[in-house]
Amino acid sequence: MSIPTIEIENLSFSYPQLQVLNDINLTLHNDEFLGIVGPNGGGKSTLLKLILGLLKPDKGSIRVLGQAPKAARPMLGYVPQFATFDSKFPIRVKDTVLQGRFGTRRHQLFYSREDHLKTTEAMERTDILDLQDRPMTALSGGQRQRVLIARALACDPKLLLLDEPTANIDPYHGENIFGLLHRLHDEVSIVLISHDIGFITRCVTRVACLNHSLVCHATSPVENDLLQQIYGMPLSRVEHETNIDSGGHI
Amino acid sequence: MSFLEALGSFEFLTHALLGGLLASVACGIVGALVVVRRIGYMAGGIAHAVLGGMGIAYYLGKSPMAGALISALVAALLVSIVSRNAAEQEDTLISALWAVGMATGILFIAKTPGYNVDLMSYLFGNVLMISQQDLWFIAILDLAILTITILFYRQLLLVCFDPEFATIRGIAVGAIHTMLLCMVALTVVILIQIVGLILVIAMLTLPAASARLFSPSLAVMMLGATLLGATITTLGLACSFTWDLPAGASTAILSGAVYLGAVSIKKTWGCWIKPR
Repeated sequence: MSIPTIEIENLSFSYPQLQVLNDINLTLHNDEFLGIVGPNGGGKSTLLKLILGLLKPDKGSIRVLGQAPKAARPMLGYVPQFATFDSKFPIRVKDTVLQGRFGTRRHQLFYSREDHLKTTEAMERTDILDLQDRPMTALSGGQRQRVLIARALACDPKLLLLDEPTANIDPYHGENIFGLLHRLHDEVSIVLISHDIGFITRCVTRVACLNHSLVCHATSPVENDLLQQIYGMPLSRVEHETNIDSGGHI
Repeated sequence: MSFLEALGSFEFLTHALLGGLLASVACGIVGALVVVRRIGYMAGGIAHAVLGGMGIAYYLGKSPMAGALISALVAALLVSIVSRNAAEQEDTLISALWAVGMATGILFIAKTPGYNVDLMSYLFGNVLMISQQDLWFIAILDLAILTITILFYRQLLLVCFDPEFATIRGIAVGAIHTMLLCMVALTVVILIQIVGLILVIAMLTLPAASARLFSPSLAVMMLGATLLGATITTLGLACSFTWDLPAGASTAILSGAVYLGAVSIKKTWGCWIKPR
């Protein structure tokens, strides 16, 4: 039996005077694609930060690829939300993707040939090679998100963690991003946070609903009564067709 | 006598011109980092706190520039400790450093026996008094800043762009931030001699902010800010000589004008000159 990609046991975490996560248990195996959904403030981003070792749990344990989160960092690809960035920052696409190469080996003064090769490869995989000399300021939201995914892929991660990759992107490009992730999933385990449940249910192998506590579902469709239980109010699931592929989103 | 003719005949003008050009290097490189990392307020705090060190050095009969260098580095370390450990009260603590530093300087200068130094020249600069020795001092600080930037360009870029990702990729974000603040301190010490400590912040932010509007990368922004800085200090000196105006203030006003000009150009023709 191989080492689980993520193993979380009895995890609790609170910010001062605010309990965010309560007794979370989760085991993620190789080649899984886990979607985490839940309301804002439910602790989705906090859980991601705990997996990355940016926060320390109050109780319980987290093992990532069999190691403590900090030790596992070189093998993790992290895709933050672009919305939190300074959108006027002067930086070219290729220089952004190259940043993913930090931490892959001992410090060197300049990027090596291998760094450049891996960077080119990552940009090919995310279809942005033709944009490599463009500044980030000249890109659309969907293109920027692809750049951040390429940056996360540049270190050959064993696990890809994404924070709301389709926030602030129109549905067409959001669909493209999920298509890309679906392809990437052949090579790497993925954990994805999103409120876009419809998109999630089509490409993930498992959905977890997080609102302070975590409920996992082996099969993907999210049912109305479950949504109500998680969000604490009656919600209904609205089916609608998108251009690219048939599917529903909430 | 025109400015160009005067340049040939007065050594003090040549020195002032060279001082401005040398200062532009530090101002362009570090200014770009200050603008993209948005630490203008921290830079302002460091600049003003420097008066404390200058006042103490003056009282003790030492070189005010040595006092400025030491107090700028101490202020940079204090600011970095504050931003690392007390981020919630960062602005309060930096304001305190800003005011208390200045007040200390003024007290020491007031209590210094004998002829009182012209406080105005610390506050607003006195570029026409720059000596050959000052020029060497500025050149050495420039060299230090340039070397650090070349060695750590990639780390500085990543820490300014996305500190969280930098942490995850194993970069010592705190140390890089402290290093950046020390570079700010060195630049402040250079710029004090050109525009004075109150106007430092104009030279540290405005040329870089203007250059950013048209720059596709941080390196280009640094180069652009350096060239703009050189133009501004030269024109400032020319205006000052031609119309008998204080050089520091003329330079600061010109930086403001250049920034306004850059913003309007970007607004008017922005779609034609997208950085590519």
